[in-house]
Amino acid sequence: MRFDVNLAQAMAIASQLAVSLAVSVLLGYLAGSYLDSRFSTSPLLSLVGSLVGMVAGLYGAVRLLQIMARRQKNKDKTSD
Amino acid sequence: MPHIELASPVIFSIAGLSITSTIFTAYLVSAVLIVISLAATRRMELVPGRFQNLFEMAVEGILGIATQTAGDRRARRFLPLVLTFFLFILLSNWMGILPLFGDGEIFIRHGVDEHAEPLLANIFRSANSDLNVTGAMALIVFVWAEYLGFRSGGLAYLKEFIWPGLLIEIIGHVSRAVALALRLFGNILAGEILLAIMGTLVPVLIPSVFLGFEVFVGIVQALIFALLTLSFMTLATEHEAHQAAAAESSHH
Repeated sequence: MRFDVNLAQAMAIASQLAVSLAVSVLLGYLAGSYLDSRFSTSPLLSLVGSLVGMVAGLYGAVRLLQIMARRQKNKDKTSD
Repeated sequence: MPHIELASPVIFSIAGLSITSTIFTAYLVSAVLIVISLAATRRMELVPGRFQNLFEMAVEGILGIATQTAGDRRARRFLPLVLTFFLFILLSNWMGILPLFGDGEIFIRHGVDEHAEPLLANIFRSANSDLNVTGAMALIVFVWAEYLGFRSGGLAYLKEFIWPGLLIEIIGHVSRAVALALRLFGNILAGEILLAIMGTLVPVLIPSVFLGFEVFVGIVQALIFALLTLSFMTLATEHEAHQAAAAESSHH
């Protein structure tokens, strides 16, 4: 059986993306919650933080996939 | 009802420094790797013996994978860190299923009494079942990848942080590292708990199936961590690759 690096890497990144999306929301929430406690604005900044975290997670996922797709395209071009 | 303790128990202290079972395993794995590496490279021959051959195969295998991802030049630069992580995680995961290493038993105690005796006196635990260990490795990846990014891209790398927003970019970069640590920790801890519960419910035969499964999970998780480390470093140094490609095309 031949080891397929591209497949292994795609699987690694897919598993990373799932966790990374959740962690981004959590980090955003934690940052917002800290700011809420500093400025007594609860729960406004927690909500904003969660939303920013969600956007950051999605943006990061899309960017990572775009770069990986571009690399794959370049790789295919050079192997042709 | 048994309950699960995530914190690794302290087994002894040296000069006030607490050594937990997972840290002890991490030291043990490091010592084993250092001894094996020294033994494998002590008398290197052009025509390798069995031992040298085995390690050459491992290095060439990971180098081959790294070359396909990052190109020859960057692969050779990233190899020491990626291979060290791979071997450390693999050995830690596999050590975790040896006898004397807790299949989670050490942290499953009967009742909610904190002073209750553990079910079995297994003193060690897989290093990767401690978030501090996986967190430390993820921190190394994060700092090293950012450093490589700044060094290779300079202002162009900094510019990435300005659009679409500093906060979004920072959360994105930090979440990658946190996810890296959490995934490895979660998978290994889940495996240990699974083995412990299966060992308690059906002590004969069935745990062997799960032990075999954990051997597989051990190598897959080590490979995933190594591949992601490689990917993050490759992505951080994309500017360098573009510059090299542009310089090459201007030569032709």
